[in-house]
Amino acid sequence: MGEGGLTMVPSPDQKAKSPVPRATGVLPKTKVGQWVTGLLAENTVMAPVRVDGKPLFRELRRPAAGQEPQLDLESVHTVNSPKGAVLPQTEALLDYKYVKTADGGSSLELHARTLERPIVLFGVRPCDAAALELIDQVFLTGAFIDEQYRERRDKVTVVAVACGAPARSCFCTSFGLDPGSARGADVVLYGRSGPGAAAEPDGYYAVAYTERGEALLSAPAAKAAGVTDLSAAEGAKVEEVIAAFRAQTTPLGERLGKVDVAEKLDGLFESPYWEKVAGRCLGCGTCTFVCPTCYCFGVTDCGAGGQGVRFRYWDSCKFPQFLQMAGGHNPRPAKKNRTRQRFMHKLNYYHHRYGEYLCVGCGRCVESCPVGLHLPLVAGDVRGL
Amino acid sequence: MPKNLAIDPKEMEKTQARLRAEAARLLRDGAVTVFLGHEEGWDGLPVPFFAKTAEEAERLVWNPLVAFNLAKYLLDRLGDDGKVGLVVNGCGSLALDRILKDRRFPRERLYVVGVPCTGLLDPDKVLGLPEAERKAALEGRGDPGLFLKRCGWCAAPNPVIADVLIGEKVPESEAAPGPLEFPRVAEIEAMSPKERFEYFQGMFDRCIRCFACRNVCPACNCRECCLDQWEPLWLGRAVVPSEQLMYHFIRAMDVAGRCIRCGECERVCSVGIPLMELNDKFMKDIIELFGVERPDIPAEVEPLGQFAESDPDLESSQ
Repeated sequence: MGEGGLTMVPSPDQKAKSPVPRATGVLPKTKVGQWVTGLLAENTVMAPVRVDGKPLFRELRRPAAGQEPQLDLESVHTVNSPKGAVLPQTEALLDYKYVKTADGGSSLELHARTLERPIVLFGVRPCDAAALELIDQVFLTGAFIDEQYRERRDKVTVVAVACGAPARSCFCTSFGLDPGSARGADVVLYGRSGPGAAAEPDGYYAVAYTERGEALLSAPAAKAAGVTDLSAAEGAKVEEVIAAFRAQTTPLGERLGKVDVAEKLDGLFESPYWEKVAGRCLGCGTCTFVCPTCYCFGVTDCGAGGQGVRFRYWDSCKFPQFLQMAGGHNPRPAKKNRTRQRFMHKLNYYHHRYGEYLCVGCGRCVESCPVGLHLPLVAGDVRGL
Repeated sequence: MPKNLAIDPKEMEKTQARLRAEAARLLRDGAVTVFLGHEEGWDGLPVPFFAKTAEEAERLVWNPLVAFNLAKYLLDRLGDDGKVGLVVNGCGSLALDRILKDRRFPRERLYVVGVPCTGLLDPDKVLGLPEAERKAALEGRGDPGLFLKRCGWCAAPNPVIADVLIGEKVPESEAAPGPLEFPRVAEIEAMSPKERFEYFQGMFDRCIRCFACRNVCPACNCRECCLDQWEPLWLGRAVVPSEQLMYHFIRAMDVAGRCIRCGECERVCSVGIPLMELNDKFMKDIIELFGVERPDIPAEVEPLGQFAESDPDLESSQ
């Protein structure tokens, strides 16, 4: 794949990326709401909540006095992913204004938008936490560093919650992750009674994996909510519990097995498979918008009378207009081209550039695609081609 | 609508065998170049399938979960001129009729295999069930709440279009259209304007603008969708409350009088927006303002697709 100066890099071992625990506290189940309420004082907090029966990852509103936010830490995955915290669906980049100058001309005034409050992502699943690192590689490494992204990203702290009961559509284990992985997380909450249950009756071990996570656990908000130090007696148990979470399999992961198809796909760009599998694609953007690792965006202006806002917004390679050129040419004119692009990007192009796959096996495409055209299907099919 | 919604797995198995045979015959004889049906996807979900050979026709399925309307895929075949085979049940035939009456696909390029229907199950509800309950549902012993919402007001148990019919016709005495009632719309109409505005804003607030509702809709069949245009920019790309309302009201207004009430928009919405509430409001208006009894059944001339000299607006504009 010499195109665009891409070079092959060796595939790193996911385990090598596993961070090491630095500190552990104990969080009683009944104190979760109190901790989150405390965090809201100084942070924007985004967390899984139920809206009309659907689990969504959303910014929490400040609860009324005496009340606590109702989090949904039991649904395995929210319909949308937390990626909007680092790459909002609509993000103002700058304000612009043309102003008249003394000599009768005009000049352009630009004001960059800045983010004031830090962001805490609470109750992120391990797959989604790892996904943030995959997006980071795009915006924060290589020849161009996206400063706007970096500014926002630097303000984000991730409190993950390990999965005690992976869902039917989960396949993180096919991509080198696991239900207790700490990749991309500052703190991970592990159910004290170990995996096996969606609800955690005994509360959590709150394990900090980064300096930032450590600071969060020792901050007044955590202490006030009753995040206590671990007793020496329980200390030895934590490792066991973490290991048990990490040793779990995932239902779809079992069926799919490890995915390693990058090299195989090198030779399949012109395969008739793409035309066959793409026929039923609806051309909607559901898969790309619910995906925690899809990051494509467009930039446009909204304004009138010589002033306005420049913003970026999520775009989707599944939309026919995605690559539409001003002159009328469309380099990806058919469903075949667009479907191939999405899966080649995740399973080949990204791998060539960063040495790993652009998929964390969260299962959202499995759950949400109206016509069952999802990544595990294609990954499995490709293996057999 | 059928007197009793019912799943008869044995009958469906027979239908499946006959469907495969019919599709294989059509493909072998060259009567069609492609046959649109369903095949089994992962986890038992029937997904749209395009059989091109008699061998491939063996993959066609007909079971309680074949909820997906196929007619919209005809628009993908406008670029070639081969004849297309297509299987439809009653509501599938309404979707097809929508596309035909909107003059978006030539009838003469079609060969339609019709299947009478006494109800289908909602795959999203059934596939998430524990194994034993799932099996019971697929064998016709499930909770009546598992039927597709649209079965509750079924307008056509027997296909309204078919070149050949497979299976027993639902008797005429039981095939009269089911009731069109809009209790939820009446509740929303009773809200104050402020309440109503906030209600809709809250409803569309979680829309991720994936366009699945538009793309699945058989009535959303314009050559170019105004929502995709940049010049003029009807819909700003920013996902903010004003644009969300703009999107959803344009979408619903554009299908007013042509919506077949299949509810696919609502079913494919990943964030669970009750889109039919808005579609139903417009359907109720069409009934009350234009005196159309069944706006969900495609007609040759639609209330908002014609010009009449008796139009009261004509007088007031002169």
